[in-house]
Amino acid sequence: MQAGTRAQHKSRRARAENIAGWLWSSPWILGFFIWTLGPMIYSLYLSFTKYSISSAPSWIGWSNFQHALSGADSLFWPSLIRTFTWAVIVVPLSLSGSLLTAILLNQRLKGTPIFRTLFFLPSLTPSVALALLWQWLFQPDFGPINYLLSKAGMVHTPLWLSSQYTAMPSLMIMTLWGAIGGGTMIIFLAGLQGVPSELYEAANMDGAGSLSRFFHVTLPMITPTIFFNLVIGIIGALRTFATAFVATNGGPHYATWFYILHLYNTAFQSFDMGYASALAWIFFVIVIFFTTINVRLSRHWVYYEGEAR
Amino acid sequence: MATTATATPLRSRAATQRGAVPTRLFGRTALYVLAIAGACLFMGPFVFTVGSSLKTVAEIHAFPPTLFPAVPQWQNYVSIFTIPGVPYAIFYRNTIIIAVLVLTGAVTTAAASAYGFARFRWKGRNLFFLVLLSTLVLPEEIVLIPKFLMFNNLPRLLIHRTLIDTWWPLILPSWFGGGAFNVFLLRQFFMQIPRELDEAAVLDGANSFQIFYRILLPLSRPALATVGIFSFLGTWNDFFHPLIYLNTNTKFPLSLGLRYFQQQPADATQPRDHLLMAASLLAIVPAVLLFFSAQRYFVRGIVMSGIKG
Amino acid sequence: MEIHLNFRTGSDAEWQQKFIPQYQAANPGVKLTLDVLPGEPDYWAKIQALFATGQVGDFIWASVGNYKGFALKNIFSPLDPIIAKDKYDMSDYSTPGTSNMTVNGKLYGLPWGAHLQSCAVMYNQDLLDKDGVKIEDATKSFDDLYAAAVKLTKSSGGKRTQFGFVPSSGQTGMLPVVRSYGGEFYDQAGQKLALDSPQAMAGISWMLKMWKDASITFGGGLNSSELFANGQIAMVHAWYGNQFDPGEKAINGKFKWDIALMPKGPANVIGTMFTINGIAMSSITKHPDETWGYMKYMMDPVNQVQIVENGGGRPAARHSVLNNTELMTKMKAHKVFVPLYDTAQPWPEPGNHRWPEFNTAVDQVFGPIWTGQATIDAGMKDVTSKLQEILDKPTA
Repeated sequence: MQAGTRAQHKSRRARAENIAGWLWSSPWILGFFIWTLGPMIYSLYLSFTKYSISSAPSWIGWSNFQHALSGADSLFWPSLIRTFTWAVIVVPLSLSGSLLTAILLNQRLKGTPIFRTLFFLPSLTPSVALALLWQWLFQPDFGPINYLLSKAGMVHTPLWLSSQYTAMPSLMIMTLWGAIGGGTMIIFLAGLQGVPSELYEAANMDGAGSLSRFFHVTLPMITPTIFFNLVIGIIGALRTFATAFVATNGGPHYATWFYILHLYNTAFQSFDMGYASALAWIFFVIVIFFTTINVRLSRHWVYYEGEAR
Repeated sequence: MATTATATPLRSRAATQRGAVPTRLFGRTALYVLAIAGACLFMGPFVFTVGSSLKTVAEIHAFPPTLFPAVPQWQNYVSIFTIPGVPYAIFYRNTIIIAVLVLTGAVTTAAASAYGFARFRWKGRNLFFLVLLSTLVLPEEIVLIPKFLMFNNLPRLLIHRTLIDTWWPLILPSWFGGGAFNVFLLRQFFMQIPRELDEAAVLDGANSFQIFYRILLPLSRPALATVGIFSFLGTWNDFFHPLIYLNTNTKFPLSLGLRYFQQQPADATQPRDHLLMAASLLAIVPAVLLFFSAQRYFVRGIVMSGIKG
Repeated sequence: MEIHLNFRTGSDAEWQQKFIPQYQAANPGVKLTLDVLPGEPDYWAKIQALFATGQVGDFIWASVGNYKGFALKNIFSPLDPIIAKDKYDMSDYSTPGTSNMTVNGKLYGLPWGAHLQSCAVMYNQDLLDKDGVKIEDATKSFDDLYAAAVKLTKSSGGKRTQFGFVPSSGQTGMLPVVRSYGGEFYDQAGQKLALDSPQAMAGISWMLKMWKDASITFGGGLNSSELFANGQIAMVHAWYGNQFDPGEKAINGKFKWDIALMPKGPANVIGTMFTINGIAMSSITKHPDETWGYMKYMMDPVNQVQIVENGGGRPAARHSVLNNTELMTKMKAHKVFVPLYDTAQPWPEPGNHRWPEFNTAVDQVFGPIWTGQATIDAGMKDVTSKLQEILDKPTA
C-alpha cells in the first residue's frame, strides 16, 4: 500500500512539477514561438514572393534568390564581401584590444575602478552620438585630427569619411574606440579573474616568467571566454548597421554599404519586402554556417576546466 | 598542468629573485603609463566633445580648431531644449519610459523563465534549452521584416488599428523572456544556488512562487542587476528598432532624435552644429550614472554566471 | 473633428504652429494635429509606410520629389472634383505650377511653394570688395565665375582658409548647371541616362573645376551655409531659401551680402529645375471637405505673403503672390528670381518614379569625381552604370 501511494504521490508530484515548469518557462517559450519561430517561417514564405507592402504578396519562386546571387543586384556581392572584410579585420583587433585592456586592468593598479570606467565610457555612447562625434573629429577641412596631423608635418591629410578609400578604415577606428573598453573587455576581465591562482603559483615555482605564464596558464584557461567573445563578436560585426547609416549613409561611393544597410534600404526605402526577406535568409544561412564552423573548430583549441583530456 | 616544481635550476630562480625589484618597478611604471595612455586615448574624443559643446557657432567652424571655447556657452545646454520642431525634452522622456518598461519586462520574465529552466523538470526542457542556446546566435535581421508586418497586419485585423508608430513593438517582445541571453545568464546563476535552500523552504511550507521570490531572487542581485543594466543600455542605445517602427517625431527616443541635430532640413532657420555636442553628451549621462553605480554588480554578475566558461 | 497634417521637419512645419491656432479660431469644430515626419528622403519612405498602415495624414505635404509615383499609386486624391464642386478659381495659378502637379490629366495637389533649385549665387560683398571683384562681372559667364572664384580662394599653410565658390550637389545642384550648358540628366521618358552628351559633360567639368580649385572637400559633412555665415566662403551656389538659411539671422551684420542670378550658360539660358512643395489630400481621408478648407487657407495670398516673407515657405505658383509688391520690395531676394518662374524648366522625373533613390545615388557616384579620387573618365563610367541601373529598375 505504501509503495503504491508513494508511487502515486511521486507521479502526481512529477506532473505538478511538469506543469509548474512549463508555466514558469512559458514567457520565454511563448516568446520563442511568437517572436522567433513564427516570424522566421513567415519571412521564409515572403522570400519567395514579390511584396511591396501596399498590395498582396505574389509568389515568384526562386527569383529573389536568383536576383541576388547572380549579381543582377549590383550591390549584393560587393556589400557581402565588404561586410566579410570588415569582420575579418575588426573582430581580431577588437578581441585582442579588449583582452590586452582586460589584462592591464587585472594588474591591480591603484585606481583600477576609475580606469575601468574611463575605458568603458566610449562603449556607453549611443551609436548615433558616436557617429556624429567622429564625423566631427574626422572632418577633413576643419577637424582636430587633421589639424594635429598637419601640425605634425603631414601635407596631404587623409579625407577620412569623405573618401571611398579611407571611409572603411575611419569606421573601423570609430568602432574599435567604442568597443575595446566595453562589454567584451568586462567579460574577459571576468574570465581572467576566474583563473585559479594556484596555477600561477605553480608556474612561478617552475620559474616561469610573466610572458611564459601568460601563454601557458592564462591563455589556455581563458579559451572558453575567447570562444564566447569570438562567436558573438563575429556575428555582431557581420550585422554592422548604425554607425555606417549615421556617419556615411553607406557612402562615399558605396564604400561603407554594408549588407544589413543594403537589407534595410531594400526593405524600408524601396519597400521590396519579398526581396529583402530573401536577403535576410541568405544572411541567416551564412551566419549559421560560420557559427557552426566556429563551434566545430573550437574543440581543437578551447580548454574547459574539469574536462577529461 | 606542471607538476615538476623540483628540478628548477638554482641559477634561474636566483635570477628571478635578483632582478626582481628593479624589473618590477619598471614593469609597474610601464603599466601605469599604458593605463594612462589608454585612458587618454579613450577620453580624448570626449574631452573634445565637452569643449565643443560649450562653443559658439563661429568657434565650432574656426580654423585652426580650438579645444576649449573662449567663453563657455553654458546656455547651449538650455538651447537644445528650445529648438522649434526638435523636442529634445520629449526625446529624453520617451527614451526613459521605453527603457524602464523594457527593463522591467526583461528582468521579470527572464527571471521567471530561468527559474523554470533551472529548478523544474518538465517535458521538453532540455530540447527547449538547446533551442534557447541556438537563438543566442540568431541574427535579428531574419525576423525584422515579419515582425514589422506582424505589428501592422495583425492588430489591424483585431482592433482595426496598426501598432506601427507606437511603442508596442519596442516594448512587447521584452516581456516574453527578455531575450535568450538574459534567460541564459539567470539560469546559469540560479543553478549555482544550492538546492538545499529550496528544500528547506519547502519544509517550511513554501510554494514555488515563494521560493522564487524569497530565496532565489534576493541571492541573485548581481545577475539581476546585470540583466537590468544590459537591457537598459541596449534600449537606450537602440537605433534600429525605433528607426523602423516609429514615424512621427514626438514618439522618437534620443537615438533617433539626435539625428535632427545632424541633418540639415532644407529650410533650417538656425544652425545647430554647436548644439549637437551638448545634445549628444546629455544623452550619455544616464548610461554613465547607471554604470558607475552598478559597476561592481556588473563584473560579479558575469563572473558568477559562469558565462566566461 | 480632427484633421492630421503631415509635414516634413523644418520651417514648413514650424510655420504651421503659427497657422493652426489662427485657423482653429476661425473654424471652430475643426482640430488640426500636426505630425512632423523626418526630412527627405526619409520623408517619402515614411509617407509610404504610413499609407500602408492606414495612418497617413489627411493633409500631406507633397513636394515633387516623389509626387508622381504617389499620385499613380493613388496615395493622393484627385482635386478636380472638389475644385469644381467648390467653384474654386484657378485662374491666378501659373501654368507651370499646375502642370507639374498634374498626372495623367488629373490635378493631385496645389503648388503651395515653388522654387527653381540652385540657380543663383549668394555672395559675401565684403570679401568680394576686398579683392576688387564685381558680382556683375563674375556672373557674366561661367568662365568669369570660375575666374572670380579662384581669385577669392585663399590658403595658408597648405590649408584652404577661404573658399571662392561652393557648388551644390545632388541632382538638384547639378541639373541647373548641366542645363545651362544645354544638357540633361536623362531623356524625356526618364529611362535613359543622358549625362554622356558633350553638353552635359561640359557642365560637369565646370563643376569639377570648382570643387577642385575653389571649394571645401565634398562630403566632408560641413554645412556650407554655416560656413558662409561665418565669413569663410565668398560665394555659394544658392537657391531661393538661402536668403533665410543662413540669412541675416545667422550672419548678424558681420558682413554685407546679397544674392544674384547665375550666369547664362553656353546654351544661352540660366538653368533651372522647377521644384514645387505641393500640398495634397490623402485618398483615404474621412474629412475631404475640411482638409480642402485648410488647403485653401494655405494657398490664400494673404497667408502666403506672411509665410514667404518670414522664410516659412517658398512662394506659391500664383501670380498674385509672385508679383506681390510687399514681397518684391521688402524681401532680400525675391525679385531676382521672379522672372525665371515663367520660363522654368520642368522637374525631371525618372520613368520608374524612383527619384529619391536616384538622387541619393547621384551623390554616391559623383563623390569620387568631386574629391579627385577618380578621373572624370573612369568616374563617369561608374556613374553611368550605377545610375542607369536605377533607371532600369521596375516601377516602384
